[in-house]
Formats: sequence, structure tokens, C-alpha cells
Amino acid sequence: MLDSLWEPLGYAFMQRALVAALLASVACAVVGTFVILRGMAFMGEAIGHSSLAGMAVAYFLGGNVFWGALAWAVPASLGITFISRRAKLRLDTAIGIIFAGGFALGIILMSQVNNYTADLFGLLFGNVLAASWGEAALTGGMALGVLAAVAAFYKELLFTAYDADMAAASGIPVRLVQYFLPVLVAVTTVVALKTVGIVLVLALLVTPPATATLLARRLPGIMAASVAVAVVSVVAGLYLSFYADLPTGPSIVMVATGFFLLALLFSPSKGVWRRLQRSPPTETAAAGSGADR
Amino acid sequence: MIPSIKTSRPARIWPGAIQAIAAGALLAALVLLAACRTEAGAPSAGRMAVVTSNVILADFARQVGGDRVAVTSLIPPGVDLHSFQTTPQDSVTISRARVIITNGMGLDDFLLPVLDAAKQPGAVHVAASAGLENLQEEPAADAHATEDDHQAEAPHFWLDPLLAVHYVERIRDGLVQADPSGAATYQANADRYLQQLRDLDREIAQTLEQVPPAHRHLVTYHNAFGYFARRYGWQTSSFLEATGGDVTPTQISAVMGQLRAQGIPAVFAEPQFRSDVLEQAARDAGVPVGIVYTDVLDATVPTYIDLMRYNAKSLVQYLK
Amino acid sequence: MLDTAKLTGGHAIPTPDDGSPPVLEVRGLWAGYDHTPALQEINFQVAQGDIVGVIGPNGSGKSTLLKAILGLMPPWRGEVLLLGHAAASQQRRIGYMPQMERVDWDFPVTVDDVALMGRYARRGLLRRTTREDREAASAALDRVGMLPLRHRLIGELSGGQRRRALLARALANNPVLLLLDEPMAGLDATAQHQLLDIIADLQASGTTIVLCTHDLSCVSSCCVKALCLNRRQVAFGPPDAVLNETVLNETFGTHLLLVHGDGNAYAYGHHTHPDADHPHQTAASDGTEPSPRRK
Repeated sequence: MLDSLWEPLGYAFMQRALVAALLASVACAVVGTFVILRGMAFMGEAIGHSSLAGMAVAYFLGGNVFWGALAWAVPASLGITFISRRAKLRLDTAIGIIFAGGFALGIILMSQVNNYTADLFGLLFGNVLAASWGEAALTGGMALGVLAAVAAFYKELLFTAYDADMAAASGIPVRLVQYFLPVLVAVTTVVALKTVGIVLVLALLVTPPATATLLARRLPGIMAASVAVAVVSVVAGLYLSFYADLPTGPSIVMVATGFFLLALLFSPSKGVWRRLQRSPPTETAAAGSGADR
Repeated sequence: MIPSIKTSRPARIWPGAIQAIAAGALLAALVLLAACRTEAGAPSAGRMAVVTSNVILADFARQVGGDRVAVTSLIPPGVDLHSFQTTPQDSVTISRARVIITNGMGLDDFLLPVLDAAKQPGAVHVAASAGLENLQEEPAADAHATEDDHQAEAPHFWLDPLLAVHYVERIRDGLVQADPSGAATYQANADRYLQQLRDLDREIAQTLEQVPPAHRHLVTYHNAFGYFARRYGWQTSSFLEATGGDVTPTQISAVMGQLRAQGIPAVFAEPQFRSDVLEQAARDAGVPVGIVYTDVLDATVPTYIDLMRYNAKSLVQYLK
Repeated sequence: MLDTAKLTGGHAIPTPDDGSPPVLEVRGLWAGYDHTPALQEINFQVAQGDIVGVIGPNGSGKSTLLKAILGLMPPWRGEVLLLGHAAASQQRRIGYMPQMERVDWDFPVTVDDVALMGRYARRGLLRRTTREDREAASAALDRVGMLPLRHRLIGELSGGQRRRALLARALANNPVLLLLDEPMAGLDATAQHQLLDIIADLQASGTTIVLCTHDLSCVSSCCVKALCLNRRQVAFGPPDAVLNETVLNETFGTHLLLVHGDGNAYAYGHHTHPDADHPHQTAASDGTEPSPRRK
């Protein structure tokens, strides 16, 4: 039993995969908490998909697709925020435009490249097993940068996310924070691309924090629980992938999804199971008029 | 690893959270145990582990290596490489191999990062197509309006048996380099197999004689038959360039024009590739859809030589 | 057409004897969204310890006025002075309680967290809150009677408790001026009385308060001054002098029946809004306020 726990880590490629996936998923878990509270999930999805354009350009020029994705994602996130502020469009409309436009551009560029389908698949689904130590270090560096940024501006991010008007009224540079958070989301998305690829990046960004909101009450607790869920999902997902001979990224996502379903059933505060147990509805009614969603 | 993670439990989580996470971990552990099957691809005693990207290359490696090698194809038989995602077990297989054989020329380059990440330091990497002259693609159809600034690189050399000879020679050299003590065996096996390939070439040329010259035009979804056609003096048309891309309206209308103008009696699909575009075009032109194989082996065509024979017979059957 | 100058002039603007500037002075203020003015030519002064009730229909510019005072909206013309300085530079000395509808009640923060936010601006970027901040937040919670509920999530509170939690945040920074946007809207009588008691306490301790409301009775009972707004300043002065039928008709844009009783004025009637709500104000408070009542 112990042997089978250690065996996968005897391989260098599994060590690198573990390091890269852990760091990426922890960054996602923390930034994702703000993403789900601000309803920015679609933005993460859009940034991931539209990054295909930047990756394709990098691929075309023979550069590292990571930098290509980053060079696209950060301006795209700023663009989404800018368009929605200036053009008086709803945020989801602005996101949709950038999402589809960037993805289409990426596909057109990739279709000019040799062996289109396999390469496109590689970008869409990522492969953490192919991570070199250099890439793992890059992923780790970016992830630590994201975490440091959240730690440094925690109270500004919290206040602005909670009540932007009030934050502005008390002198917090709200406009700056409102551009900063999407940039954080963009960097985090790019960091996670290597692990799970464009298509599944949203799962790392959303599923652990969503699970955490079912388990913890206050924001710091939710972040901690989100990180815990992400870490356990990555480790369990890697082992599942190793022993069941399954693709790695999707395995991690499936484990995280499993945790979410468990939390949905057994959450101490909001779980279906708990709700069934206290069948008399009077107790829930006392929670307050506006408490219901 | 896992226990150390559990100690970093956050302070403000509700007690039930820990139960939920523990329950999840338990579930994951059960899945793991259930999944703890015997591992595939463990090298048989005494044999040299060889890993190839696809089954065609695996067939060549087995022909040359014989009993001295244990060959694994990363892309399993019957699976198209385009829809292939690697797993950690694939990387384990790679890490055990002393010889790694790929086609190169863009076909399986997407595997290179995975190979590089997992291979052992002394492993010999053979790119089977290295040194072959790249086919400059002729326009697939008259109205070849799409691009192109980039030089098309067609990787499907093996569909010409005489170019497959080059593959086998390179594979032989790779095996000898990794396992010098087996050099004599590899040399003998290779010589025997190379002779079979040269015989195969003559046999196919003969078989294809049955197709009237006006019908020697192979219409496929994806242009994999450039080297084959050059060898036997055929024409090809396809909806997709050899190097991929996406189907464009120009290509479809060009191929349809050829079908009608030349009265080509059939089009051909690859068994692993369902193509709505091809089937619709065949329906529109009122011609049947035959089968040709490119990089997949199955029960019908268990070896490369069977594949080539099957293709030749299929062409004769539909185009005669 | 009413002569506002005469109305305000009738009650001489109280200037403190010591010559120090009023807590709040609004001079010739114009402000708006895009190219639509939401406020035109607003002039009034608030002395220390006063409670000013800003009254007007939806879209009359009440919230805009508060935002302009907070410096969230740059004035097109005119100026807003807090103790003689431009108010925009004095944001930290102003406490603000937003409308209930503008707050995300599902956000995972506790009453404590919310009160502590009132201190965030005091600590710059990259600085954590200190023990002093936490003590100030606790004191503010104590003033509004929310200390026992400090560990509750805001989503678990009743309407009155939510209001008091936000009030604690506004008080945590010991502001010289408190701005309350619709503090009474949607509260039952008990909760209203609780809140009015707190406001009276604050006034007694010298806090200056400007509050927006639909509730005429609230203005006439607890405010020292009433400011009647309908994009422009219809009237400003003590409630008894200002809240007459002519002013109210002009403020609310239609006919109201005034009933005097218990020293309070109640207005009944129907009115149509002369204009739609401005784009940043929700209409969710419609129908929740006790008066003026619509039919």
C-alpha cells in the first residue's frame, strides 16, 4: 500500500506534474474565490479560450505558447473590463465578444500550422505530463506571484468585491482594483493552461472555491478550504490518472467535481443531507428574510 | 505526501468540512485501489523495451527486433493520433524504453514534450522519416486558392513501400545502437523484411494495373496519399491538405468539380475518421465510399503489409 | 414657481458664533450622469449636530447628492466643502451607509468583517488592520447594539440588523459627517424605532447626519432641516416651515393631501414621476416605503 503511494512519485515526470499542477491549482483556488463571488466565471472561460489566439501566434513564431497566452490574456482581460465600462455593454456581452473573437482567431492561425488537429488538441487540453522543470518553475513563479498579489491587496480586493461604491467612498482605489482583479484572473488562467488546457481551466478556477463556499463561512475560511480542495484534487487526480491509466487534467477535474458533489450533499450549512434531516421548515425560515438566494 | 497536506487544514472551516473532505479522500482512495490493476507495458524479462508513437512503426520495430524487443505503441491500434491524450502510464512506458521511435515531420511532434519529459537519459530516439526528401505538395485540386506561404510538409512516407524501406533501415540502426550485442539478429531480420517490402512494392504496382488509367485518381478526406500516388503514378484530391487545417468551402467545391468532371467512380474514407464532408460529397456525386487505411491497424489489417495490400485491393475494387 | 431663496432666506443660515465653517457646505452644485443633469444648483449648509432629511421622489437626485458629497461623482459646477475643505479630499471623515439594495448580502463576511471595512481606508495599501482598528470596529458595533451578533454572517441578519451593521461600518472611522441613504426603507415599526433611537444618540453625541428618505414623517419628527429635492432644490429649512403643500407638490410633482397630527405631517396622494429613475439607481425601494403612498 505504501509502495503504491510512493511509486508514482518515483518518476521525475510525475514529480514535475505534481509541482506544476499543485502550484497552478492553489493559485486558481485563491483567485477563483473572488471569481465566484464576483460572478466572473465566464470571464475566466473567455480568457482561457481567447488565449488560443496568443498561443497560436507564439506557436507560429516558434516561441513558448505560455508567453503567447500571457501576452494575449492580460490585454484581453483589460479589454473586457474596458469595453464593459465604456461601451455600456453588459459584462457578459463584452466577454462573449472577446471569447469568440479570440478563439476564432486562434483556430484560423492554428489551421495554417502543420498537423492542425493534434496540435490544437494539445493546446485545448494541455498536458502536465509534458512539463519540464523549467515550465514547472515558470508555473510556480507565476502562481506564487499571483498569491503574493492577493495577499498584498487582500483588503482592497475584499472591500471592492463586496461593495465597490462604499470602497470608493472610503478612499480605496476602486477603479484600479477593478482592473487588477481581471488581470489576476488572466495570469491565473494562463498558469493553469499547462495543467488542464484551455477547455478545462474553468474547472480549476471555479470548482474548488464553489466547493469551499459549501464548507466554510467567512472569506478567509473559504479560501483555505478552496486551497485544501484543490490540493487534494490534484494529488488524488494524479494518482487516479496514474493507476487507472486516464488522462491527467480531466482526472484532476473529475476528482474536484466529485468533491463538489459530496459537499453539495453533506455541507454542514447548505447540504442537501442536512436539509433533509431537519425537515420542519420553520428553522430555515428564521434565518432572515433576505438570507435566501 | 498526502498526510502532510492534511495537516495544513484551515482553522475556520466548519467541523463538517473535514468530514466531507475525509469522505472524499476515502472515495478517491477506493477508486485508486480499484484502479490498482496490474500495470500494462512492464518489460518482459530480457527483452529490450521499445516505444513507438503509432502502430505502423511498432510493426516495423517488431519485424526488425523479433524476440529481442518488447514493443509498445503509445497510440493504441485503432485510435487516431489526432484524438489521443497521453496518460501517466504512457509516460511510465516511455521512461522504461531504451529505444523511442517516432515518425517525425509534424505527424507525432505533439508527443515530443511528453517523450522528453519522461524518457531515460540514455534512450535512443529514432525519427524514422529523418533524411527523407519532403514531398512538395502538388495542388490538391485546380482551384487551389488557399494560401500558402508555409511549405507543406507531408509526413505519410510509409505509404510508399520503398520509402518504408528507409524507415526500417533507420529503425534497424537505432536498435543496433541501443543493443549492439543483437546487431546480427537485427541485421538479418531487417534484410528479410526489406526484401518483403520490395516484393510488396512490385505486387501493389501489379494490382493497381487493373485500374483504368483514367480512374487512377484517389479522392480522400485528408490527403495522406501523396507519396503513394507519386510512387504509382496516381493523382490525388482531398478536402484537407496532408498537413491538416480545416475544410474550406473552396476545397469542397474544387473536389466536387473534379469528381464530376473526371467521372471518378468512388471516394475513400479512413476507418478511424468519420467525415461528414466526404460522405455528403459522395452522396451529392452519387458515388460509393470505399475504405483505405493510413496509420491504423486492426483485425482486418493486422500488419503494415496487410494494410498496403488491403488498400490496393480496395482501390481496384471501387475504381476498376 | 416657488421662491426657494425666500424660503431658505426666511430662516437665516445658522453660522456658528465662533466663526468656524459649517460641517457641510454645498455651493451651486451641479452633477449628473453622462449628459443628463441629476442635480441643478444645490445650495445648503449643515451645522454640527444637525440632522438634515433629504426628501424627494425616485430619480430626484437624492443618491446623487450623497455621492457628490462623498466625492464619488465629480461636480459639474459648484463645490462641496467639509469643514471648509473640498469634501473629495475629506472622504475618510465621512461615514456612508448605502441603500440596502446595493449591497451583496450573500457575500461571505461577518458583521465584524463589515465593521472593520470602515477602517480599511485608514490603513494604506499593503498594510494590515491593527488592534486599534478592531477596537474601533467593536466600539462602533457596540454603539448600534450589534456586538452580540458580531460573528453572524451578514446574510443571516434581519433587515434592521443589516442596517445597523452597515451603520457600524460607517461609524467605525469616527466620521464628522454621516450620510445615510434610505435608512428606514422597508423596516417594520420596531426596527425603525430602534434605528431612530440610535440616530438620536448619535446626534446627541455631536454627529452631523444627512439622510435621504421617502418618509415625510421621519423628516418632520427627527430632522432639524429638510431639503426638498426634485433635481433642483425646491426648499431647504426647518421641517415645520418647509413641509407645506405647495413645496411638497412641487417636490413630488403632483397633488398630495397633507394631514397634520401629533405634530407630524403625513402625505397621501398619487403622483407620477416626472422622469424615469436615473440609470444607477435601482427602483427596488418602490412600494416599500410607508409614505407617500401610491395608488
